[in-house]
Amino acid sequence: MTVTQYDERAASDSRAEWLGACEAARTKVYRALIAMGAMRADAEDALQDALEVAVRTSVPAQRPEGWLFVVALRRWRRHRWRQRIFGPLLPRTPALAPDQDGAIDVLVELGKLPDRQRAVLVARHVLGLSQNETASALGIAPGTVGSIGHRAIKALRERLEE
Amino acid sequence: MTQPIDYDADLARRLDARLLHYVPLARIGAAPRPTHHLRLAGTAALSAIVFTVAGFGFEANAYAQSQGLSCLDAMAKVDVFARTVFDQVRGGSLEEQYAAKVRLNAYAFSLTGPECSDGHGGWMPKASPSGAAPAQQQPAQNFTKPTNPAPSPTGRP
Repeated sequence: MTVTQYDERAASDSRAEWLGACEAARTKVYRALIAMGAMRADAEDALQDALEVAVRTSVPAQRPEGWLFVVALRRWRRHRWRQRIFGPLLPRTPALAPDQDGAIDVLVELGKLPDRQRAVLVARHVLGLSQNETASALGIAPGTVGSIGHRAIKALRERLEE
Repeated sequence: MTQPIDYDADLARRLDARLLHYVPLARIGAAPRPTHHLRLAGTAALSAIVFTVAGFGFEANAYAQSQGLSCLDAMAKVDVFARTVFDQVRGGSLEEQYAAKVRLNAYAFSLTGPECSDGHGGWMPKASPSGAAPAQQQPAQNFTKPTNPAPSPTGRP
């Protein structure tokens, strides 16, 4: 086997692994999108778009959860931006159903946080990414992730304990 | 063990519990495409089946014809067809019944061909060499001539 063939085979194996990991991360990323405030159908569409991009793109040096989340989040935001223009023409359904016991809904309170705080919180707590992985996925410094996350947790705790 | 300032295990648990029932729709996997060899083998198998069935049909027809049974067999088929067709048009208009008769003639001709013709525009089954009586043709008795409609009170046709 020549070096080139070996490289091709290794690349193909790592690609298959990457796609398998993306497939395995679907549920987590879907839940993360819901936590970000997406409606079910929008989350499905954004996730599907992100998976299509994953098939086309070369293997990135990131965890698939973080990568898929960021790509799907971008798709969903673009879709939401379009919805603002055509929104009045379409029927709207509530994104989140309230908790069964009538207690303060953690997702509703999460939705009241600024977008960046929400993204960091979801990446850390729903996707289970580390501080460095979150920083790499969102394109910010690890220290910034720490400070944003800390502020977000504090704000959310205050809202939940009210 | 110290917990990082930007991570709250209790919050993670709460979020997990809240998001538990959100599950993405199952993806429908496309059926795997047959490979080149599989397609070739499938085509060969299909061709073999088609040729075998066709060959068997030809052989069976040739044997039946050699025994003088072709027209009798056709008669039985026509008989069944006629019953079905006339059941459908019973009580219908004359045009429907005529159309049914035309259909029946065409079907009978397609089965028997000119060799079973009686020479007067109709067709007759060949007598079987074994002396078996040919199947009876009975569609005509199912034709009922409709009565004239009652005159309309306005006098218009």
